[in-house]
Amino acid sequence: MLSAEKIARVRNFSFGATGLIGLLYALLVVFTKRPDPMPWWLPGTVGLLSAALIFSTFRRAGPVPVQQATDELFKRCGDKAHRFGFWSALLLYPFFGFLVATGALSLTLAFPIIGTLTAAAYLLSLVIFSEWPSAG
Amino acid sequence: MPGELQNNLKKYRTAADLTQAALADQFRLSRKTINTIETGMFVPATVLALRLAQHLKVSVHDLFELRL
Repeated sequence: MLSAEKIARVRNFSFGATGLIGLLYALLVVFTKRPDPMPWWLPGTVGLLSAALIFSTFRRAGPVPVQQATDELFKRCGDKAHRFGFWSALLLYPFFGFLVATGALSLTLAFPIIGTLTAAAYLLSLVIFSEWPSAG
Repeated sequence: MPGELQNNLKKYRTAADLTQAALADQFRLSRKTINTIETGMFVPATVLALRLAQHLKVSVHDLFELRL
C-alpha cells in the first residue's frame, strides 16, 4: 500500500529531478556558451517521464492517500511556488535583456537559459516549500 | 492591532489520545500538516479549524487564540 508520505516523496523527487535538469541545462549553456549543451529534448523528456511517474503512482495509491498528499498545506505551498515562479520568470526577461543589450550574452544563449530557468524556478521552489514549509 | 496566534492543538490532541498520524488520517490530511499547525508554521483555513475543534469537542477559541 502506498502511503501519502511515499507518494508525496515520489512527487517531490520527480519535480526536483525535472527542476534540476532545467537548472543544469541553464548552467551548462552559461559555462559552455552553447545553446545545446546537452540533447535539447532531454529536459522535456524528463518532465514527461516525471509526469507519467507521478500520475501512475498517485493512481495506484488510491483516493485517500492522494487527498492527504494534496491537502491544504500542499495547496498553500503550491500557491507560494506559483508566486515565486511567476515573479522569477518575469524578472528573468529584463535581467537577461540587459545582458543581451550590453553584449555580455548573445540572444541565442539567453533564450534557452530563460526557458529552462523559468521551469526550474517553479519546480524547485515547490519541492523546497513542500518539503520544508518553514522555508516560505 | 497585531497579535501572536497561539494554538493548543497538541494539548487537546494528546488529551484525546490521538497521534498526529491518527488525527491526520481522520481528516485526510498529511501528518506534516498537523505537525506544522502544532508548531505554528501553518495556520489552517477557518473550515479546517472549525472541523478540528468539532472533532476534539472543544471551541475553536480553545484551539487557537490571539495573544495581544
